[in-house]
Formats: sequence, C-alpha cells, structure tokens
Amino acid sequence: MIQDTAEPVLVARARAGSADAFGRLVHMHQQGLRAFLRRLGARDADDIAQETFVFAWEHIARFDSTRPFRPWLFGIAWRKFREGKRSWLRRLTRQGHATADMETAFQPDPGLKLDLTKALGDLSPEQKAALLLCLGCEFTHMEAAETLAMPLGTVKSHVARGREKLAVALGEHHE
Amino acid sequence: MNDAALKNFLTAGVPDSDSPFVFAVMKRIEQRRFLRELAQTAGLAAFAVTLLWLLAPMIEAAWQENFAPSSSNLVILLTLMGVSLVVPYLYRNEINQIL
Repeated sequence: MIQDTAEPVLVARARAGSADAFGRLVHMHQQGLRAFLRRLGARDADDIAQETFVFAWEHIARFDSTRPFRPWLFGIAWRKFREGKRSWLRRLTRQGHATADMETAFQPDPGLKLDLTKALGDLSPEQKAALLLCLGCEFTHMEAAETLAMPLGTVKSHVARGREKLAVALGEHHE
Repeated sequence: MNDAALKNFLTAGVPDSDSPFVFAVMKRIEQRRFLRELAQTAGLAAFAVTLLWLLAPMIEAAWQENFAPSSSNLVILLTLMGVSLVVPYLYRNEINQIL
C-alpha cells in the first residue's frame, strides 16, 4: 500500500493516464504549492495553483520521470505567477474557489507576523521565491535553482540575503 | 525564530488536506478536456458543412444525371436494407429463443 502511494509510482500511473493517481499527487502537493504562491503575493494564488495542476496534467507526458516531481511542478507555478495574466479559457473555466484567509492558522504574535510579512514584501520576487522554496518548502538549493531556472550561486545569494533581511526584521521586532 | 517556526509562518493558512481544492482541480481538468473536444467537433462540423456547401452543385448535378430517374428504386432498396438491419435487432430475444 505504501508503495502504491509513493510519488514515483503515482507519477508513473498519472503519466499512463490515471486521473486517480494525479488526484493523489494534487492532494500531496497542494499545501506547499498554495502556500508558496500566497507568500509570493499572488492575488489569486489558489487559481494559479489550480492552473498549475491542470497544466501539469496536460503536460505530464513531457515530464522526465527520472527527476523529482516537485521542482517541475513548482517551476510551472513560478512561470504562471510571472506570466500574471489569465487567458480567456482560464476565465471561462475559473472556479469560485475563494482564497481562504491565509493568516488564520499560524499567529504567534501579530507584531512579529506583520514584521515578517513586511520583510517578505520588501524582497524582490526572485529573492522571495528562493527563500520560500528553501526555507518554507525544504527544497535544496539545487532544486530551487532548477525550479526558478536560475544559476545555483544566484539562488544561494538570494536565500542568504533574504534570510538576512528577515533576521533584521525580527531583530527590530524584539528590540 | 528558528527555521521550523519560519516554515510554519510561510505555510500558514493552507490545510494539509483540502478535498474541495482537489475536486476543483479535477473538475477544471475535465472542463478543459470537454471544451477542447467541443472545439474540435465544432471545427470538424464547420469544415464538413463548408465542404458540402462547396460541393453541393456537383452533387446535385450528379444526382440529377445518374440517380434521379431511378430514385424510387433507390428508396425501395434503402428501405429494404434498413428493415433487414433493424428487424433482427428488435426481435433478437425471440430469435435467440428459437435458436
């Protein structure tokens, strides 16, 4: 049973046309992907997340199954976020899946949260994306570089600078 | 704040499991497939109609020249063919019992 739900098995089954297997992949990755898009500042994060999964389903035959699935999926989301506009087909099939209030589950300290949100807002989209992937989604630097189509050194630099800015924001909060 | 707490902050607000979201994705996939097939069918239908419209004079001329004199025979032939195809289908239970 464990083997049946392992990601490579699900990906292989989805590539063979199993919608059920793909549904499980959506279930596995929806949290990380939606959080990534929301923290990037996407106004319609859940809509972009849905479009990402639809695109992944339609192009899963092109996916190189010897590579990890998550960077490929997040790479699609990143490109869709950058594109930033919807086609007529997307508008036509858009669901009324309203973006939930993201600030409800983790509220350690309203002041701290505001500082972190502000600090994230001050980062460039690339810095924010690299930081979110490496700290929020536990990507390796290499996976983040692949996802964002950036050189490894650039990603490392974005993460280091982003972490520094967050630390400064937190330091100011605690002073 | 350590990395774990930061991770909590970064992923806050999105549930571990969200069946309505998964359902919405699968529904969108199905809608997209339906629209694509509809567009293909509509395209083919438009092509067929255009082709028929362009060829209509030739078809009409050929009909008048070759088939119009014997159209009544053709109708009888087609009717017989239709009956021979439909009757076994309608009475297949009785035929199976006899056999």
